[in-house]
Amino acid sequence: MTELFTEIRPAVVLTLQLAGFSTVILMALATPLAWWLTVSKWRMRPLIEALVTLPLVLPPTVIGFYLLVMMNPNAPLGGAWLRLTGETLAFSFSGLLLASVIYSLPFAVQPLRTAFQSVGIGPREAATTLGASPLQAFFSVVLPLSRRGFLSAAVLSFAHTLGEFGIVLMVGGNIPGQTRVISIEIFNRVETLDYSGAHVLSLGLLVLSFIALAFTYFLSREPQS
Amino acid sequence: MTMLHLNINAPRESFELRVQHDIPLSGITALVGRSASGKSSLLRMIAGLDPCEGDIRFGSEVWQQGRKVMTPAHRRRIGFVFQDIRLFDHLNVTDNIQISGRWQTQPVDPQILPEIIDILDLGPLMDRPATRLSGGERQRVALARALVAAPRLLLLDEPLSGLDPQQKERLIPRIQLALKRAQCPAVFVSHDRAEVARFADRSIEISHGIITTTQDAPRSLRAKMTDRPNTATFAGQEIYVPNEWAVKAGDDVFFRLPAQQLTLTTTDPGQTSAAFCAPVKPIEKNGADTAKLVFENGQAIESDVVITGRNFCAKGKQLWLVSPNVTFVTD
Repeated sequence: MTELFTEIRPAVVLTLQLAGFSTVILMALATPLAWWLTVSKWRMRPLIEALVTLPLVLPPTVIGFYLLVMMNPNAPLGGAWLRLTGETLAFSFSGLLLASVIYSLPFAVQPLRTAFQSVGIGPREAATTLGASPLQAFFSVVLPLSRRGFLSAAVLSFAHTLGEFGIVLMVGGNIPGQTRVISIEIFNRVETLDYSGAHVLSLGLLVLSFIALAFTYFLSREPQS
Repeated sequence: MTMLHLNINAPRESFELRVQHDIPLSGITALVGRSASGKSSLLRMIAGLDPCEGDIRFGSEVWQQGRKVMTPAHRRRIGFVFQDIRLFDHLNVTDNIQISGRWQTQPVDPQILPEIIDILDLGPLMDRPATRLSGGERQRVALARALVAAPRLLLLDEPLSGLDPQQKERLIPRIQLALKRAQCPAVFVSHDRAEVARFADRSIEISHGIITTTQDAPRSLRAKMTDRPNTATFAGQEIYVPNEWAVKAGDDVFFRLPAQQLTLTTTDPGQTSAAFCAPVKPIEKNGADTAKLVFENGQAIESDVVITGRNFCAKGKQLWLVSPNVTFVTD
């Protein structure tokens, strides 16, 4: 049993790292994006909305495929990354991180948008008439009033990144300790008929995801007065 | 006197709002009209919350010129009391009232906070979360929150809607006293004429986005508080003063008589149930149905009591003025 744990440890650590970093980046990215989507009156806004939601409906292989094409050292993105860091983006942890940020973006943006919308324009206008600039109104009024949305966005992004498979396989491959996350490890073990190893990992993911979702739904309950 | 200069227009759903008017920046001005007459929209445009075209000047300060907004809402240093209150639900009463301190760039008189809290009787509520307040309490907190930020003009959108008559009765004097303490002129929107008569110094009537009439409230009269509780004297007559005004013996109280409800009699009505009855003499007659009436203490009012009979209101004749109620004001 201890042997099994030493074997799966790199995959677990890698998965948690990927999910952790993705969540941090996603929150930093999704907050202004969700805010802009909430307040913008731009006519072409639906296009951006569609773009942000696309990862929800596309097969991960399609996103993975285009990301792989973009990460090619001969493509602008891949080339720039290579010149900047001396590494290729494809089949690296950084590439994996980029892919999972894009893949989980709707899971961070959607709860934040819902939260911002339910706060509404009222408290912001009240803050404005008390002398708050738009940024001050956002940080001292909108942000605290939508804190439950932030928590559920973070939990959902984390949980969703934990469960990635297709996109990881496309962009990251199957390199132990670098891109082999839990879901890939499970796939490998099933392929080699190591069902007990697959079982431990699967159950772990299942329980973790369930806890994360239950937590989110408890949060989104209306407070009882 | 400094003025709020308005020359603005904006399309609304069923009409065009066009307002050219100078509102004096003193006392309390009422914007009166039916619902959807454009009065709330006008208030929001003055605050800079809704867009419009034209010019808005606050004294010599240009807030808007043509389509160009020169001063965004958060730099106008106005206060706004919204019809739906809009307290910050994540904060308690204290933080709701004091949060503007974080945003204000101008120093604020530190004395104003305790005095406003006292006038609006918020002391017992200060630690309460904003979500655990009754309608009247929320109204008072919203008013304190706006006034503590030391606005140069307070805009109130139907501040008394949603309150029952007793709550209104208690709140109106408090609003007047708080505005006076903050030395802040106010513009408030109302559809209730009785409410406007209670505390506006002038009223502007709006219908379908256009100002139809403007009217100044009758001049206020001055009575003196006696040693006895709730009692003031005016020209030898006693007047009942409600507790809310909290005036000390010997101090002056100011009140208005409702011009539309006055009655003149030629004989002393003696003991009446009316709130106000005092001997009066007409000194000049202006036009067909108004006269200037002088009380025995020398104070005078314009009266538009419809005068029947040719010699009824002859100059110098002894008459008695009876009013079913009096309205107290800050001065």
